[in-house]
Amino acid sequence: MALDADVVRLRRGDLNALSELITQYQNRLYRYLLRIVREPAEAEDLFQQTWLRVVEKIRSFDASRNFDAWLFTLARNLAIDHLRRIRPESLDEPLANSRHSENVADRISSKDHSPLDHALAAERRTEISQAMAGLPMIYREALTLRFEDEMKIEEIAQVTAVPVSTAKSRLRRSLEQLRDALEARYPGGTWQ
Amino acid sequence: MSCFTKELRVIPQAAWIFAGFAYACLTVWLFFFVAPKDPEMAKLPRSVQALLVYGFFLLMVAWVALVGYIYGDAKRRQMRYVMWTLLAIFVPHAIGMILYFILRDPLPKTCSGCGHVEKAKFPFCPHCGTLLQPTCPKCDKPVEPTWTNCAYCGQQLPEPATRATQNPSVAT
Amino acid sequence: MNEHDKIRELLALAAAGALTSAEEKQVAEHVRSCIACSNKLEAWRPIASELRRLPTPQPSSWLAQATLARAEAKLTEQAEHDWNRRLMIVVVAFAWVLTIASWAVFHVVSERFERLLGPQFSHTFFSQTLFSQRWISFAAFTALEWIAGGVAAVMLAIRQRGEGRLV
Repeated sequence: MALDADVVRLRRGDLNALSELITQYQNRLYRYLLRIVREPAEAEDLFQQTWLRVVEKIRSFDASRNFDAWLFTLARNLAIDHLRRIRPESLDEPLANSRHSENVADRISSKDHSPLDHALAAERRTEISQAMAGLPMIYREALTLRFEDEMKIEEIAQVTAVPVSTAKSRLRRSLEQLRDALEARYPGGTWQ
Repeated sequence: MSCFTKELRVIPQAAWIFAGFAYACLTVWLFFFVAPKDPEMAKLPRSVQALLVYGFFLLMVAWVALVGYIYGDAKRRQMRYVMWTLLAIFVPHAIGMILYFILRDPLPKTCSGCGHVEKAKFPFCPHCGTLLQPTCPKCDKPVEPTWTNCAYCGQQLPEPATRATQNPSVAT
Repeated sequence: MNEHDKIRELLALAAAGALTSAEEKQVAEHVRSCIACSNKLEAWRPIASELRRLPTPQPSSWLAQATLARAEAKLTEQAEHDWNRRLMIVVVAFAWVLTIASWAVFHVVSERFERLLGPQFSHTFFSQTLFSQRWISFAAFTALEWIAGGVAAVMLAIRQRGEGRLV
């Protein structure tokens, strides 16, 4: 896989490999960090710090391991440390009113065709984004890793450093809480 | 290990010539003239004698090469190369050499404005005044590209891509 | 727990595609016969599909470039650091080899020297202290050399740091 070749080259200090890796992971990594910290400026800062950490630790990275999971684990640890220092309460409790989610929902790029579909789809996605942003961090994380990054449960378990069974039950509870939040905010709507 | 071969080129030719010449002379003299006559050495088989003499003097070659490297390296880093070379030679047991490697200056940078080679710690070129290194917008101290905040005054730094253009170059 | 409850727990994960193939088969079979559970499974579908199609938030356009600049600087800094460390290890090892080698040289040279001077000096104070307890005298000499080197090191380091502060 081209990714593995880049990782090997990076270990030997190849700058082009670094550039390719950063571009390749740009959107995914930023999205993951944004889902965790919910502030675009902080997510961008953490994005940079993650890559600095990658450069620091790439020598001790065993190239046969999964680079994806390792990268996301590094990012996760940095994000959690950051949140612990700045906003420790945001790690555990769900937000009462999710003002942060508006930033996320702002950059919508809908692919639907008719104007009505477009409006409906955009509305549904806004609703979901807002509801998701109100969930506790580990649930947001489970949802984004499974649905947006399409990681397998085993990978998710690796990144979040929990056993597979815990990852599964977290995912299940995150979906249930998301559904509950949607029904609570938009009763009788499309989510029933 | 191309880093290694690049560094080897810093050693002046004179050092290699001197080392090679001294090695040849000393080893030949010792092996062919002194060793056979010496009571202790003669007890050992010739191959062991050869190993001792030729192997031992490789140390000498390494030592001369290191002194040569220090001479060349101190010169290109614009340090006081005569002082450092003498220290490397006369402080015993290569302690002078260890000192040199700990205390040496970073490599000088070429000025993009006038082409002069200047010491790395100078933020501005002493000949034409162009900005060599990004500086903090608040306290004007030089900053590293990996920093997000200035280490001297704490000011948050703009992104590296935009930093150089925001700081005006000072006219002398 | 009866089967419905068990299946109901798996429904959300089924919509997420996070079940093992055995569990998926279990759910598929149950859902074929049970309408209530089938409806519940369908109720999950819109959430799951919208989650999959959430728009990707875009970072600022300069993020990749800025990160690359910083990471490259770090990479070169680390390469230099590694190289310097390797060099220091080699030079320190060399210093020790020189120390040990100088013992051997001293041993050889002092023997020859003794023999050259001849037996008439063997009773003098000089030869008795210096040459009979040869190893002790040499150890003392080496210790003195290292101390002298250490003092030179400290002086140089202080001077260097002083210079650094002025600039």
